[in-house]
Amino acid sequence: MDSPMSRRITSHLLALALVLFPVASTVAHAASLDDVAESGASAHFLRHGYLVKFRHHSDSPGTPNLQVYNSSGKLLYELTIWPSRTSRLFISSVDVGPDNAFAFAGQVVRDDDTKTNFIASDHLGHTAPQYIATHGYLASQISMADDGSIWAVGDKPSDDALLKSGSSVPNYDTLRHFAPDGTLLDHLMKRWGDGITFVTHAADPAFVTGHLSDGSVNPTPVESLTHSYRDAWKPASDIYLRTHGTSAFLYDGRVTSEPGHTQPTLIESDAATKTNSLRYVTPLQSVYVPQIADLSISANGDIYSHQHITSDSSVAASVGLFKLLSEKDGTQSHWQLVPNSLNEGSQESSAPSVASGGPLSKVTPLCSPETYPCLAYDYYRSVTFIGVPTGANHNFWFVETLYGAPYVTDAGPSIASCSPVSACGYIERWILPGTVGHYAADNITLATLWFNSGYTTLNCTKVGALYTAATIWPTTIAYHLTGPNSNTYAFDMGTAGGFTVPTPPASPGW
Amino acid sequence: MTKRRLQLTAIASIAFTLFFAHSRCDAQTGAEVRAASVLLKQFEVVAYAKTEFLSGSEPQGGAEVDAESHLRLPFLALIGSLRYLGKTTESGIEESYSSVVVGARDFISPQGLGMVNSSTCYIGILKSGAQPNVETYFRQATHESIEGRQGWTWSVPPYEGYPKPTKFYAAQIADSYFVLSNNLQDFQAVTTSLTAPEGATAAFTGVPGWTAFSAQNYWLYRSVRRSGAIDPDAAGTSVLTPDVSAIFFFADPGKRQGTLRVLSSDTTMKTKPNVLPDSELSRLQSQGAGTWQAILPLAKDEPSFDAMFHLFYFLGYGIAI
Repeated sequence: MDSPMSRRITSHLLALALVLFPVASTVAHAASLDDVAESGASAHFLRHGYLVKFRHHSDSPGTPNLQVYNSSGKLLYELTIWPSRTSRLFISSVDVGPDNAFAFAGQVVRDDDTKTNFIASDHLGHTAPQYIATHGYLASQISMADDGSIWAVGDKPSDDALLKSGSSVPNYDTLRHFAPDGTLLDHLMKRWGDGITFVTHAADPAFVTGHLSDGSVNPTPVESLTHSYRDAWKPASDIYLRTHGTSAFLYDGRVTSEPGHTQPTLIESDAATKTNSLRYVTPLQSVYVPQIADLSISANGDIYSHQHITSDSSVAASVGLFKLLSEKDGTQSHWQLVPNSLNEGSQESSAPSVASGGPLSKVTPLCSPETYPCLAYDYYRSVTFIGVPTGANHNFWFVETLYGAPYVTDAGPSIASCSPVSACGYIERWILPGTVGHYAADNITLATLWFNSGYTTLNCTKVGALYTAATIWPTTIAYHLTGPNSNTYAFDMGTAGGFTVPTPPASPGW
Repeated sequence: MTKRRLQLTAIASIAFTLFFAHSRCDAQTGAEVRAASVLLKQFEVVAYAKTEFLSGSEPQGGAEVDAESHLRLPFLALIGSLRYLGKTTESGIEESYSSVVVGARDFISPQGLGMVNSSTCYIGILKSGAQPNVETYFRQATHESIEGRQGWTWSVPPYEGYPKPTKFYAAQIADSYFVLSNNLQDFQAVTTSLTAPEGATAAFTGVPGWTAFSAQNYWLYRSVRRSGAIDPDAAGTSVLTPDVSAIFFFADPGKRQGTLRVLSSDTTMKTKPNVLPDSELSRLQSQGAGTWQAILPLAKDEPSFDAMFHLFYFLGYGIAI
């Protein structure tokens, strides 16, 4: 925090927040600082006038894992969160509420390797957090409301093993509202969709089968990880949980080609009126890029975002402030640029003030060279027949996007078996976290690296474009044994990212 | 052309003319001809290769681009199933047998990525003067009676594109042949044919151009069956130019060149069959009414590789990548 860069950016952030959101209930998390690359550390963010930084992963009791600074950048509190009998700790999310209250959530791994998910609350300066066990539910992002209650969005990771073992798992709500004493006040948003009572694993391990209350089976399998809130703690998740008054707002910026998910959504749940509403949000660009770096609610309830706008021809991002406006029917909203707030094409840009039109502060784009290296690797491996190489290669991509989350994206024929039907359907793509793709052999430790983009921040826009192209890959491109095929997909991804990838060897369809 | 191949050509031509009533040529060649005859009757695709080519042509790592590597595709089930039993099993068979003929039919697509599969039967032809000693290579398999014939069975666990184990059947037949199949009915039919009196099986009816391709060290013939396909996409018949009735491909491995012949019921020769990529279609030239021919380079470059990848799909060996 003492480097000139960090001091400069801190002051920029504070200025931005104080001008825009003088009494904001929440301020977003995506401002970047030079030490964000610190292993497992969150980005800094502002909450109720405090600048907060915490460490997601801790494995020793003696290391502080939460720092709170005042608006001048002075360190006020350095806390070590470490429940008893802990061997490892994962903090997914931290939020500071009014009156110095703060909350955090995550998972404790005990000495005996058992895991406990929790939400906890305390007051700054006080050192006795109250832990609330959330059992199988892991809150991946929380927001503390003005009344001290805590909203959480999350997932049940332990269901994975149950499904894999053949067990059924009940449906559950992903958005939850806890009273300050831990009482569960409300819960909504079914993980596996409305009407589903429980799910079992499907033939394809990437899917589950939903079972309805009348005993029938939902004819449409649900892709296991799609629309999960498990990764909502990651800054690049494009998921923002915010509170204002008695309401919680959950913005989900993820977009896929599936019906109902082609636009970002904003869900509002009002604890006072017990009403929920859904709005679709028209994205700024036709080609989706995870571009919201900050989402906040002002004192009067207006929703603002700090967004980056990229173009195919420019690596540098434009930065602007946007206000969310509802359209007449109330089900659709769109972002409107705050006048004079757009700064184009610089990596450290000057965002003019909303009120005066004059300079406000400098902000660092999400993909700044100082903090967020990205990479994209193309791998190939031979397709085999009874373990014997056929000599023909299949390509897939390994990418680390903003904030370093690694993914493998690969493709293949859309249906498990082309026989006895007469067609293999379309080219289906998968985007899976980690280093192994949909096909077990699409493993970066086993395959051959063909193209290396380099691990540099200069790649972030390109990698983002590649990732976006993968996300919006349509389900209309027919797969055929002579091509188009998975290599066609891999080629298109490289092209979308603007990478000049030499033709990989023995890769028809590229 | 080598003396050896001239001999084969002459022998095959005579055999074709006499409907292979009884081959008077040397034992090895006669065995090859008979093996091919048996398979040509029962299968849609039949291919032939020397074992020395199969043992010496495996791609070394995925970085190699070699159009010739496609010539191995009809023989991968043989190589893979033997290799599963041990390296010595594979090498032992390759050392004891001079050539292999394979028949394939009922093509099916893989589940996901993988190569098109089929009901397949291989016949290995014992080297001249060699003593069959197959037992020593099959210690890892089960020696048992297969429908009254002593042989070996074993199962290969699920492999890429095929989530279920595959059972293989193998036997040494009449001190001349080694038969291996992934289909019990085919195994029985082929072994029965090979043990029948030679006059009962030696007939190549309906196989035009036999003399041209049978003299080669490598050949592949497909008599296109348009009805009854289990999976027309896997078989290639869903997209193959409708008038194509047969496809021949032959080559001399190592010389980096192959010859493709396509027989068509369309004698106007207006439309070139789509057995090659669009970029390579200009290689197809009319050879008279109903016959197209192309000379294909088997080079170590991408265009040659892609052309063979495309062609072998229409020969029953497509690869889902």
